[in-house]
Amino acid sequence: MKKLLKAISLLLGIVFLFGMFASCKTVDPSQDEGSDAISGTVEVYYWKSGVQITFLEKLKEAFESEHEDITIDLSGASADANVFFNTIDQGASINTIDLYIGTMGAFWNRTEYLEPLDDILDYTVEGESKPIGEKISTVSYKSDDNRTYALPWQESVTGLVYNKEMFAANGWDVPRTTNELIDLAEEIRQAQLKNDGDTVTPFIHFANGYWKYLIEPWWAQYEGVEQYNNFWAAKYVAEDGTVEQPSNLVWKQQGRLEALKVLEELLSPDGSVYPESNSMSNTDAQAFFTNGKAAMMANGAWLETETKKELPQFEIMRTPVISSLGTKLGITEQQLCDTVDYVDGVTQTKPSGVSDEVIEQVRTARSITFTEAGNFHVVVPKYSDVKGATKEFLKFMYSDEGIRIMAENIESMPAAKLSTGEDVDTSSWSGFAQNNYDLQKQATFIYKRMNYALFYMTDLEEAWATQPASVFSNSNPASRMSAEELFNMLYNNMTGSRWQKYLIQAGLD
Amino acid sequence: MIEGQIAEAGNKRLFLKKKKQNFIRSLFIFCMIVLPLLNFLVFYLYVNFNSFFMAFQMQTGKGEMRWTLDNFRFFFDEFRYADSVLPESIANTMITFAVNLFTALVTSFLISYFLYKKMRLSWLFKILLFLPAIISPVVLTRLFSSVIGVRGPVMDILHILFGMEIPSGGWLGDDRYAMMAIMFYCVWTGVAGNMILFNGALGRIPEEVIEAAKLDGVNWYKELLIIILPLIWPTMTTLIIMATVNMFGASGPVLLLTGGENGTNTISYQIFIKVYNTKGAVNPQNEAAAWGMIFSVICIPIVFTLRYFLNKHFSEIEY
Amino acid sequence: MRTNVKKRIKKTPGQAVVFAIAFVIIAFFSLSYVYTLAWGFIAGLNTNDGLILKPFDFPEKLLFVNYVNIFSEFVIGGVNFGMMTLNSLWLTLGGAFLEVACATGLGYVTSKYRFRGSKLIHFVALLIMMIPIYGNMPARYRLVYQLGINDSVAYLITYTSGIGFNYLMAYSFFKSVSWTYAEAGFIDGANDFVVFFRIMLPQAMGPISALFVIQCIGIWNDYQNPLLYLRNMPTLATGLYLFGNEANAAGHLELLMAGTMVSIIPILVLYFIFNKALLNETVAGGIKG
Repeated sequence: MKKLLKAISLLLGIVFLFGMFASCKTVDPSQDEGSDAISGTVEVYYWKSGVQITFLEKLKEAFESEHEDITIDLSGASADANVFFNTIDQGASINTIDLYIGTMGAFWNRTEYLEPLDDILDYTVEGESKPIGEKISTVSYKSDDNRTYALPWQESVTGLVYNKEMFAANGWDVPRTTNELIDLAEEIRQAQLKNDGDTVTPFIHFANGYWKYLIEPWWAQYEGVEQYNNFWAAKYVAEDGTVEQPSNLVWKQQGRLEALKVLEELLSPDGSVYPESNSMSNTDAQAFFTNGKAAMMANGAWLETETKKELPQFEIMRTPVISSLGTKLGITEQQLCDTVDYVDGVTQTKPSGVSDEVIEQVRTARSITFTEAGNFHVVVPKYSDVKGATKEFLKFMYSDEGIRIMAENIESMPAAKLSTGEDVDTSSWSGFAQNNYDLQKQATFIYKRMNYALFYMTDLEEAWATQPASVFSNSNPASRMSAEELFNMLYNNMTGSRWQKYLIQAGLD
Repeated sequence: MIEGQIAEAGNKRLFLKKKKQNFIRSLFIFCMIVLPLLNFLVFYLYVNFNSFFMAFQMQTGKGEMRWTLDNFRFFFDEFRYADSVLPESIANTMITFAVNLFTALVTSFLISYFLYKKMRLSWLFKILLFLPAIISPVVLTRLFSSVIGVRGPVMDILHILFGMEIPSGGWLGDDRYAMMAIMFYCVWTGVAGNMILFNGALGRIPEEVIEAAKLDGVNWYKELLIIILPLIWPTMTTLIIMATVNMFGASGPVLLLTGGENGTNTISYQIFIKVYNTKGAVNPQNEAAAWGMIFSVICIPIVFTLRYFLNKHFSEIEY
Repeated sequence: MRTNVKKRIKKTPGQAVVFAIAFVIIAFFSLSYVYTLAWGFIAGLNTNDGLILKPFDFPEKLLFVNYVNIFSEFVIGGVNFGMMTLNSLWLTLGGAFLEVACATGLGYVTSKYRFRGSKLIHFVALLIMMIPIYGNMPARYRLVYQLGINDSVAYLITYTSGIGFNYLMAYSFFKSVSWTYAEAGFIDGANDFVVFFRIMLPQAMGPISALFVIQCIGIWNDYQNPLLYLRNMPTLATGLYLFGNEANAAGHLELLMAGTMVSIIPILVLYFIFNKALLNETVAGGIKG
């Protein structure tokens, strides 16, 4: 027995000794300031999403011809979306990437490893009239130190893509409001059109689908962009003006419920959604859609490049205005439709019985577009040893010359606009891309800011992005919920111990 | 005198030789156990101690590490939320455990038995049946989900044969059927999972015992139940205990087939996700440690009770 | 005179029915594996659109070039198919070798030698197999990253546990081997190393090879551990999983299928060569004590 105890205490001793040894680390990457060298090789990681890497190759070519002592290395590009998370906290001894270009998701909780990029925003490119910061409208600043750690590079338009050919062949009009959209969906269901043995459905989506590109604008249309942004700051403004932050009451914003109600009406009737939608991958759904199995699909400007097809018969429509906004503003559905026609420039006559103030609100609502700019960023690791060179490259990327190269090769306007305010040359772009550019120019962009700790330190709000569509169109009737039920459930999930947990995780308790 | 000196020298040589032998022996034993011992200390003892402490820690957003019972409190509070994955995870884990136990013990054994009895084409079946065990689950699940998919032959066959209505989302896409589909996968791939083990166990049964039974006029199912089964019982008990030890870890390939959607979550999948998917908070890892501890605590008495019961009521036959 | 007459056991009617049903069921499962694999290989010859829209129709054109293209197109994070195969190889062979070697050594020493702690080691080895531990993945994950053995060949160190099923097998095998040979060796002047490597180990080659093959199969097919710990050195299993998830697969389902099927060819080849040994050499053990 004594021997056994001796053996155990010896073992424990070794274990704890080891424990102390194991926690000895080398340099803490978040304390490593790296180097500002302005020459050398800049290793770029590019996330190969739907957008081809050609634009980067062209940027590299043009940049290197003007900067002989800097080489841009693009060989590490890959389609693995997790590379940033897997490498950023490893420090200079393991991670050699000097610049990340690609979707970062919630990178905000890694800012201790990132180089602030405010100096890029303050920089004015030689020969241009504006600093880079004024050319980009979708920059986000971290809520606790007001600095920017990431610059958006893509400002993709999203919305409801529709099959123009199918619409024209059947005499369907592009809906202006959500009520018109609901009626159109019903009409398509009744039509029972056939495509190679399948019945054409109004909509198609995929498992972690893109319906947020519609419900977030509808929500923002109803509540206003400021209230929408307040949600992402968990900032509740009471009617008497008092502010509570963080507050779970933001989950009760009426606009969210209104958006869910519309989606429910669109997706729940039988035959609304292509049958396998809830279990499909995005590429499968896109393939079915572009083969004419459904009339409309919530998607984004990358549809063409991702499916590697020319899609002249498809177009992203301007987001229909949520009809309950009309009710909120005290106008009828017909007046709302007329106002939409007016702000679109379809008619020149002002709608009767509608005040100028209301017209402006509808104009703003009509232009609200969700963009993934909140997801597509460039970031620089703080510990990189060629930060100066990297920043030179970024300044080039956001210069007018760089913007033109990107626009030509992505067939989309990047997040930065030309300093002269003029349009880019779209003559070589496809019809689909040109239409997207028109939408982009008039858009009031909303995006998930994620710069508030409650969101970037937790896994919140994933459910909102994916759950509603599958809940409303679930093939198991018993698993369906109404919009009210879902709305209440999403709020209840933010109460009690879950709310406490999120507050602790976010450091807001 | 000289004799004594010679004897003394001889003893000394012997003594040194013995010492050298003992030294080599100790060195040999040390070499054989050093790596496993270190591994045990580091990857078992240290990891499990750390895991124990992690369950009582919480990382706050301010970067501090708090000692707290909150991970456990949140675990139990989870049951209050309508969309909690916990009840579904526990239920699915138990179902998977039962199904896997069934295939591991019953079907594997029966298949091995029929092959042992030299059923027709058993040489071919032996080779084919072991295929799922050697092929990666990544490959098998990909093929499986296509074959049972909406465009696959299985749906068509079931519809033609039994008039079964195909759920529009496919089986894996419908929460009434997704778990069933995963269980079917487990049976499809696990049906001969322990064939090797039983093959070995059955192969060790002395021919004489079988012959003697035949001479006594014992028919085939009595032979199976009264003679063969008891003789391979140690294999059975080993499998039962090993399965029970991993009871709460039972899981089908959730990550590969459904990603936890449509009611297919299991405890082990949730724990894996909390480690693999940590883009946001650090706490999911502490949560996972707490969950693990709760289930370990529940499982330990079950395992020991079962082992006691199995040993008490069934004695091993030496042969 | 024929010496290998096939013994046809006469069956009773009841037995015949049961065996017939069993035959049908077993044949069904066996055929389903063959069908599924065959479909997989044919799917690799299809086009992307063909696979999405009509996966179970026989492809109009058989694109054998797909099986060639995977070596250049199938890339995850800069790691191509060939490199993934290499990663699978070193992880599998190294890991399996270490696991089996440690188990053999440990099993031999605890079954044949009496030294301070030998009983304790055996007891602890058995006890560990009985204690259910879930939830230590986070702690293990942290430790691996703290030690810096992630994303490197040093990760093989985690395969030196030596306990578990392999240990049981090694222990019970050596327990059953007579010590006389060893004694003869000692008398001839051999030391423990020589006795082990020259006398005892060769006798164990049968079960040890079987264990080695089983370990190889397990590690080759493991996608979870490399996913967690070897993110930048993906193996085939992990690579196949990641490729299937990514935009790379978009428009390239045929490559995914081709890559998937190519990845199992080495295992299938090994299996068809060694299956007799595999099926005959394993011996069931029991948890005693």
